[in-house]
Amino acid sequence: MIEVTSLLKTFEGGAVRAVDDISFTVPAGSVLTLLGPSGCGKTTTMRSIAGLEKPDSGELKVGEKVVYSSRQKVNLRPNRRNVGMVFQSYAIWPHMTVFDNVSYPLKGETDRAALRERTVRALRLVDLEHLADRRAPKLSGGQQQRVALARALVAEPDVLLLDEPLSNLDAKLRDTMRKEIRELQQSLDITTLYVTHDQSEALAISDLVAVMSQGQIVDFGDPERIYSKPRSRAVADFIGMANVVDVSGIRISDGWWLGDSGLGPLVFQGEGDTPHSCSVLIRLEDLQLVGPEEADEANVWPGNVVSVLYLGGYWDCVIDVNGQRLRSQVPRRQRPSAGDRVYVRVSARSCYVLPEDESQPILDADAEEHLAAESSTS
Amino acid sequence: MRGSRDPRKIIFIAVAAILVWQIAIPLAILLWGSVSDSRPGAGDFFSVTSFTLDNFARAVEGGRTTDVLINTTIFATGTTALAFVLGTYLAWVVERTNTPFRAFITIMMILRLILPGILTTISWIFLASPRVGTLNHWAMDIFGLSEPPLNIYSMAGMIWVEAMDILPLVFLLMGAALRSMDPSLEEASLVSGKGLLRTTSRITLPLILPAILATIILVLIRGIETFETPALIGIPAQKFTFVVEIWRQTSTTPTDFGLAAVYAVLILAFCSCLLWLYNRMTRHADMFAVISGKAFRPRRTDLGGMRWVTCGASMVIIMFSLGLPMIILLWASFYPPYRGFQPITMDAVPLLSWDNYREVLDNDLVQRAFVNSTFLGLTSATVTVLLITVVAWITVKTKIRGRKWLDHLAFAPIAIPAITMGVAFLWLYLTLPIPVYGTIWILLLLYIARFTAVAMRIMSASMTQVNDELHEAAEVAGASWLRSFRTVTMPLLRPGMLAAWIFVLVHAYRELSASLIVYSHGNEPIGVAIFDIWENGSYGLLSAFGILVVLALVFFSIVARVVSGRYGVKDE
Repeated sequence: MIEVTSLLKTFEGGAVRAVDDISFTVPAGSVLTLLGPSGCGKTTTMRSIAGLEKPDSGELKVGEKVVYSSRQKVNLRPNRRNVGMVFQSYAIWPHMTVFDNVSYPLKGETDRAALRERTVRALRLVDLEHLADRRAPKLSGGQQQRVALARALVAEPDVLLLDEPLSNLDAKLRDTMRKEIRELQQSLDITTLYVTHDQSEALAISDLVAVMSQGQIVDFGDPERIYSKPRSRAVADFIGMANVVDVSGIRISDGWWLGDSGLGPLVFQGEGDTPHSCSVLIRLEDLQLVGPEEADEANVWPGNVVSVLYLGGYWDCVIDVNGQRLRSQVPRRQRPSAGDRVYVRVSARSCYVLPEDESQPILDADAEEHLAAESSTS
Repeated sequence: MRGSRDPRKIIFIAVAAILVWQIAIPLAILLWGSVSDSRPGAGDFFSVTSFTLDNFARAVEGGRTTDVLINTTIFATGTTALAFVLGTYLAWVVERTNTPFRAFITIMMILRLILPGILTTISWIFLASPRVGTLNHWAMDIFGLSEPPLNIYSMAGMIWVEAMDILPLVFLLMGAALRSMDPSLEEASLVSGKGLLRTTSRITLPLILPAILATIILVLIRGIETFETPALIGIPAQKFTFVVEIWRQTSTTPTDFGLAAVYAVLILAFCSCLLWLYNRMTRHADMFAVISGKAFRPRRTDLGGMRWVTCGASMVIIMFSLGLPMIILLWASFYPPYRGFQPITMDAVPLLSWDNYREVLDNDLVQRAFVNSTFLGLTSATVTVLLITVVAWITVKTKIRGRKWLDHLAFAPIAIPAITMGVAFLWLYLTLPIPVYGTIWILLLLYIARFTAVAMRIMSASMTQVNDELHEAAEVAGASWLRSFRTVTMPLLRPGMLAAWIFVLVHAYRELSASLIVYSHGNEPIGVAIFDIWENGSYGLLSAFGILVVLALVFFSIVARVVSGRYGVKDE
């Protein structure tokens, strides 16, 4: 497992707080993704764990070993930390063969046969046994990425660190590699920290996601929760495009919450005491186009299609409802076109009330506690 | 901190100490020498009471310094202007047009770069001296002139000869700038409806302006510090430059080390201003990011029929820069030794013989010089490259505090005129009780100090191209810092190191002006030996020696190309 406690890393003499006092735990055998836009501190956090950056203060534990602690004055060099890492550029050494690249972390192994054995085993993991003697620059992007993965795994490290490993691949290969990395991680049961700015990648590959912004963790949880119930408007925006509707004059009617919005009266599901006003999140795929026969039902409003983009699996539509613009993913068969008069419907169940307080970062994201809390509520 | 014993700090301190000793200390001693009334090595040298402004007063009085300043200025700027125009023209022809024989032009320029300046200066005296100049004889024969039309012993002659020598440097620097410019920047302008002329003036020129200014500054520094032409042509022409004055004050009696120090400090100050400007220019260049290190396919202009005109003009420049000097040197090398030197005529052809070559192989001085220069070249190249690789690594790849300072120190010798460096070393080792003066070791130390800057330029460029993650990946993979440097960083730097090594080696063979100040009998390098033979008037011997040196240098360069082709890593 990886334990990060009160990690602080500043640049330019303290002027920039790249990683601002964050704490989190990656439980043994699971994948935690640090997700955030560029410059949010996710890569700096990972590099600090690898020992490539020296933090200002805090404590880092890899496996059972304290690798950095400002209090105990410990700062192990990267080669003493027993981590495997895949770099964004892959960092495949161009002057070596695939075999030499992969066997490099094993140089402590004095038994030649064992070294060969272990290297070949690592290459087999990523299906590259047949390319062992090829020179590194002669590899395709996907092959380089597999070499990097084999090299990171060959010495059986305590943890695996992946720094935007898929960002240099084309879309199709990205999908394949995403699956492969996840399968490999599960079969080896290796604790993994994954850094990416791609939401769908983070959701697909992780057991836990930590959303970072400006050096702080602003949301933490399992992917499904992060996606459906983001902790703040900013997180919601970042995780996936969503409509946010402001609602006021909220009262309770038949167990549902009812309020006035720019669209018209909105019925939705709420919990606890009713606030006077709030923001409601409506995912693009939860907004449907319906026929005029449903015009009188609750949560159905008339609107005009402003623009349409065909994205293969669905139409990405912008619809003007009472002057407020909503985005929606419309199924292929419906074929909307710009200028159409349509009715949009949202189910009361799929509306999500965004928490009031959105500015507080999560100071201690303890995964064990978090997972325990999740399982007890469900 | 436990586990954080960082070997980088120790290495940093070690190389910083070496550079300070090699560069800062000699200059400090030189500075003190310029304001001291004591001679180097005298007991009271370090006492404050020896402070005086007398040396500066002597430099100012009599107006001689003013003459020298004017001569140096005209010579350096004239040389720079001529070399820049011709060199940039050739660079443009080779990089940006479809002129035929572009590869040939490049090879000729590289060949010209390795030729020792003293040989080409002598060649031009053979070609254009009023008395024996072959070109003068031909012109008088063909056009029936009564007077020789060319006089090499003039300011114009000096500028011409030196410009021919600096030309290949301009060609290489400007070629690199033109080559590494992203062609899509120009294409974007063309697509925006601007013609070739507007594109060139609004896009191309502003983009390479920093490179142009940087080139001009480097060439100006070369013009100020050069010794061969001002000594061999300038002295008979009564056009004295600072470098020649320094040499005269230290080597002809009565010597005046104080005055030499003043002159050395003066040109150092001037060149330092130029270096400061250069640093500003190249910082600018980084901002423009024109030099991206990425390989672009340059946009070539189709010149149509004009391409034969540009080709012809290029060939004429090559003929003057390389062809004629080599032909005349070959001629002189076969001309019989007992007849002095005569211009190329059909009548003299039957007299040609191998006598000079036979004599060269028997000559003690020549043999000694060859051994000395080979030792100095191989040793200084190896030591400099290893040292500078570490320095460049610190300045480019680490965040150690003080790395900027180290960078400036290592690059400073680019602005230190060779002769200033020579005088500084002379003062240093005459003053300190370290017994290297009078041995070959002072030359070795001097060469290492002198070639630090060019090695630094090559190595930091090559270091920048090695992605940081390659080194980090090795550390994360469990390699100690030293192992990852040895197994990953070093091999990737090998092509750059080889290039720097060859550069230093070739320049060590060419070195003259700094060596001239500190050499002593028995450890003359090749440049000094040629200068010596020239002063004795054995022109045939000298020419044969020169031809052999040129062959050796060409051979080294070819071997280096082949080796780097075989072991070079092509990073994609």
